Amino acid sequence: MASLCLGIATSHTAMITRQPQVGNKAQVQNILGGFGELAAAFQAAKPDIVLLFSSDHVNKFFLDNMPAFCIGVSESFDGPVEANIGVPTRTFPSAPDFARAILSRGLDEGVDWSFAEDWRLDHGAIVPLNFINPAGKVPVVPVNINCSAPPYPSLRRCYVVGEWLAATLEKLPSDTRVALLAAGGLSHSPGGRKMGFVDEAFDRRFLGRLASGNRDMVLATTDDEVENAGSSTAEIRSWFVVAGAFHGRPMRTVVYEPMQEYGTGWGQCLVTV
Amino acid sequence: MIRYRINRALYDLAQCDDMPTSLDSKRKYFARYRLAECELKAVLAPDFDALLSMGVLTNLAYRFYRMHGLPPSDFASRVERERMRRESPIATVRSHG
Repeated sequence: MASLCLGIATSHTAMITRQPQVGNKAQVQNILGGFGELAAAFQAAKPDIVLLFSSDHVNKFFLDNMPAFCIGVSESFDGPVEANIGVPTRTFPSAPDFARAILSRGLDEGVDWSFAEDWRLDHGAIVPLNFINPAGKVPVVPVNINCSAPPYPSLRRCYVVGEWLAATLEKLPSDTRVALLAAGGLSHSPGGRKMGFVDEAFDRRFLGRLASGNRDMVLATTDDEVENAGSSTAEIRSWFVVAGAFHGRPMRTVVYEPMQEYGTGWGQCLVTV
Repeated sequence: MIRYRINRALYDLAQCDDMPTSLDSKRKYFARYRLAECELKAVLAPDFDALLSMGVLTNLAYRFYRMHGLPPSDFASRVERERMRRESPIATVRSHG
């Protein structure tokens, strides 16, 4: 059977690669140190595949067809699609057979993924990969969660998809070691009315709930609460998938920095088996 | 109001190599999207508060904002100013006048 070997969650704001110097120096150093810790844990866990849950920023997916969940099924994925995030374009090998297995089982068991066989990843995926899996040595299977065009899948639904995923991995015949990487959040609002506002109280409350490892506490987070913390705080849906998959295990906060200059509450978490 | 056409116009605009700059070229560009009068007015102004109120996706609103060379740090205050102007009694009188 396949197994989960590591869970990571991190913010993905491109300021950290495009203009890190804009941020408070000590905070930036703390974030980069956090990425170092995440990368070390990633390497130590020896994953065969990384399933990356993130949110496209209306680069790939648009209102003419906006899936709630979309899994990438291809030999490889390129990115970033943006020219200005301070990361060169590169190709990440993927694992199409594994992706197809997750896709097929989901369609049979109530997780109605859409799928994409061609997809240039944006900063939401590329920024964390740049630090955690920079050479693309571990194949990447990207999953998009719609956090750009409401209505979004509910937080509870995302958590349940994570639970389903963990159960499904155990049924796969291969002995693949799978790392989950959630990217997005925490509180921020680019292009929203609260742009620049960092809701530190919400961020810390949310991280505390994740650290509890308690399902009810994590799911006590409401959609309204997330919306009030900023328009793009919706991206923490990816964190709910990881929390659901590691249900019962605490997600340890590695770093939290309220980055005023980036207009983002920056969080990084780890969950180990 | 259906939010699709206004979002489509801004999504396509973000893919353009040459953003229309003059009022005439902007009118010509947006004409193909059959926007409602209030939508056209908001993109030509530009009025970002109105665009958000019409359901423009925040990522697209922000890209459109940056296309105008405006600083990121001013986005929220500009939107708030636009909102107050739109909701002020004077603006209401003018719009009905």
